[in-house]
Amino acid sequence: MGTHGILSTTILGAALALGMATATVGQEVPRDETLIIDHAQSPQNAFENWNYLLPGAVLRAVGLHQFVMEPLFILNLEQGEIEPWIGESMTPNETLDRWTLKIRDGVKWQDGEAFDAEDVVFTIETMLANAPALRDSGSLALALDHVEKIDNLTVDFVLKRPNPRFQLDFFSVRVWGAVMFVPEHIYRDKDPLTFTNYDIPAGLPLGTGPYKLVKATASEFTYDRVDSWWAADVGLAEMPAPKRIIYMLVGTEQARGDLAVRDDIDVAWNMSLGTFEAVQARNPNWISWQNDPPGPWLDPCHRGFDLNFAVPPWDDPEMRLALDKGIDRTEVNTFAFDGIGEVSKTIFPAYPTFKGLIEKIEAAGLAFPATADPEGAKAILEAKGYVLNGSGIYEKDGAELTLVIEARDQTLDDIRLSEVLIEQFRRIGINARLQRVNNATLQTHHFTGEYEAIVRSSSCGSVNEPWYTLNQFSNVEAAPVGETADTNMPRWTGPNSDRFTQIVTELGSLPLGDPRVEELTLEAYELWFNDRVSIPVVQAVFLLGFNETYWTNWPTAENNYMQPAYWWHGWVKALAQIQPAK
Amino acid sequence: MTETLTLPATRRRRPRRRVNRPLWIGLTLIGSILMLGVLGRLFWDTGMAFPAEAPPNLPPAGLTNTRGVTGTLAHPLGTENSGRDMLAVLIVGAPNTLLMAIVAGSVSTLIGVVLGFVAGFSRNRADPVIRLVSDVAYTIPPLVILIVVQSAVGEVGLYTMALLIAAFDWPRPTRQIRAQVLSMRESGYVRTAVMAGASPAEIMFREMLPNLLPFIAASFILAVSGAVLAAIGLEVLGLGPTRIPTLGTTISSAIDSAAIFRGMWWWWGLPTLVLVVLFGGLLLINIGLDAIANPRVRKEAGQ
Repeated sequence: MGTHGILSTTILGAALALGMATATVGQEVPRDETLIIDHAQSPQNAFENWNYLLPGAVLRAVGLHQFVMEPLFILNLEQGEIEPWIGESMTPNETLDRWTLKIRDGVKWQDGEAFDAEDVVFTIETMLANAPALRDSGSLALALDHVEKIDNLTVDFVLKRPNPRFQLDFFSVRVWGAVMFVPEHIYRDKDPLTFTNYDIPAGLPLGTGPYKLVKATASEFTYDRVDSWWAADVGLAEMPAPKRIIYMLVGTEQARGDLAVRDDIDVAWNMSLGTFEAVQARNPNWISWQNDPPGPWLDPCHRGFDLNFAVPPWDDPEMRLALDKGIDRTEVNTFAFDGIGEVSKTIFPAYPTFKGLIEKIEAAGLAFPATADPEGAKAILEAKGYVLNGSGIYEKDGAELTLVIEARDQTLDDIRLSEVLIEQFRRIGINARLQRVNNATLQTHHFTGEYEAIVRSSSCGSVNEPWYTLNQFSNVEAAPVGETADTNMPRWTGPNSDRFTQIVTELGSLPLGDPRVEELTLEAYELWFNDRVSIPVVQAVFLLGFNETYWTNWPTAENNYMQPAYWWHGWVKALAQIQPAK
Repeated sequence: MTETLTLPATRRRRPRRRVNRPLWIGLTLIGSILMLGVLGRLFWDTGMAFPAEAPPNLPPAGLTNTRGVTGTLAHPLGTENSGRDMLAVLIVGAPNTLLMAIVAGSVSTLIGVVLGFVAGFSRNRADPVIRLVSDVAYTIPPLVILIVVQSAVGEVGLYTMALLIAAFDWPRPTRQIRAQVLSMRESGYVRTAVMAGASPAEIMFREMLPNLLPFIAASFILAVSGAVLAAIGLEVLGLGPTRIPTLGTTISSAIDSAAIFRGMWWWWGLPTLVLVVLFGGLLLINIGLDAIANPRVRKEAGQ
């Protein structure tokens, strides 16, 4: 055999070996036993880091926190109740500054170790010792003094001050996620800041859920069902039917539509109305949260943007007001959300729980307007010394008034929202432009304050009481630009911010339902609104698609056993109810 | 036989130069794109090329879309998802694409002419350096570098994009013109001029450059075609200008919004059609110029 022969044999051998390695990820699983989920994110270049304690660890939501790791409790938005999961109960003392957690008996890690008080204490102490570098640790350290193990299944959380929402805010998946507990027997000798938690043959990442990660690439994540799951053993839930779950980063809406029509995916990320209708016309097995006509699920978060106080001239509330006056929210809803969204009036979601409060905010004249006031905006800018130049842009001291809006490049809604906003800002003489960035960069910029305007509203959190969202803008954890902040992403400072923080701190100590909650909320909200700390535009809508070709019993508005937010922590609870079609 | 010999003088025709048909058709096609931009601005509201300026998702006039809505003459070529009028998009976008390509082509050709002449004519130390640098630069895949640069720069305008493309396209004209200059340098009339004591500048600009003009023009057209291709590539990847419509950004947003899937052919099809006209026009101009610059082609064409 000549050199060429040896070379080609070697290449062929290597290729075969590689092919076999790819092909032998677990056993072959038939399509009708596989659940394929589309997840709209950029390719994950850091797909070998599964240390979910780290901030910005976006790999959490590609299956890990849905099906591998489980929360203590799950707030069911449809039922309006906090449902116990790996936690059994969490109760406060009379003064609301000591909470006792009872862990459910029988919860097991996938390697057979019991999930117990050791894991809870270790996780919380690790977070407190590394605050604010680890995810959620900054806000946890502000609330919590220490934890005490009472027995194997009981842990006491001793707070720094009374907090009636401690269980809801940290452990109940109020929105998207909650604190995830690490296996103490895995993490105990590791540095939580550098450990990657990724070793598939060794069973990492290790969770308590019914699925294990078996393959990760930049664009696809595969999980196989484990043989036994504690929740099925104790009778809490049925063993989920899918033997394999594949998380696929689909990318474009065109690809999403094609895959959906061909039954190559079972769950589809948000689509524009036109695309969803085209999918349904070719494959009637696709349904959405609302059907006939197809309608969206209203996410509790708003789509809008944060405007950085650290970047002049946006440190001036009047300039922020001018910008807000330029926004025509109804137009944004029509052109960026196909008219199926809900225009933002406040930062609170338009859920029945907030109906009364939103009406009071409107009555007080503190609601965001549905249409623009371009003349009002221009009057403010001119009073500030700006003069229109020949290109229709305001100038001061020879410099044009500009605005750079960062938005996620893979999220069509955000891009469309930004494009319409940019036209509206240009109509009032602001040279606005879009900068597309990937999701990880956008998150980092938001946390570190290295942005001017960013389409990632921090007005997200409250679903049944107002404190959480307001607290997102408290300056207790103020961090300079360049350093990671858990809250106050717009870097709001000054006397209004201080007064706001004071009120919100007081609000935070009141029991839920206290009559003073509404009064303090309105007082804080006025300060927040007058400085336009964050600018919500349209409440996020998700026209999600579920395919009934292989799987049925999806959550819908009529069969609303749980919210359809399949990218949220604890969605394993919904998965356990999904049934094979045949 | 007799008849043919006794043809009246008035019926004798002087041999005429044949019309360079490809060149003229090419120029007409490119001219039509330019006219679309120039006349369109006079007769149509180009402000509708931006989002939220027209009702979204309308089909072209007289046609009906999947939701049963019929297009009107207010938006004769239909509208897209975010409320841009397609006619306005083409009026703004097509000349923008051409303009960007012409700027990129001019810059790279100019660099090529200067470096090609310096290297080919002077034959001093500059030659190996220019040759080496252009040879190395020629091997760099421009699209990859452009993607990296565009990502790092973030927002790019039309001219920035043109300059970026030109920065990677100059080695080709440099090499071509250097080769031409090298061969022309040995031709009789140049030697005569040298013997007559003409200065190098005179030889380059009076003797050689006029003879190279058709060749340079052809090289320029190639550069323009290359620039359109590079720009479309970048724009379809989402790396082009984000606000100003061009043909590539329009196709890119059509792909992002699943226009093909949704049957909105006017959104992606019309800019594609204009691109076909653009490339066709450039190709025909190139064929026409080749007939002028290349004697063999001219001879084959009977001119």
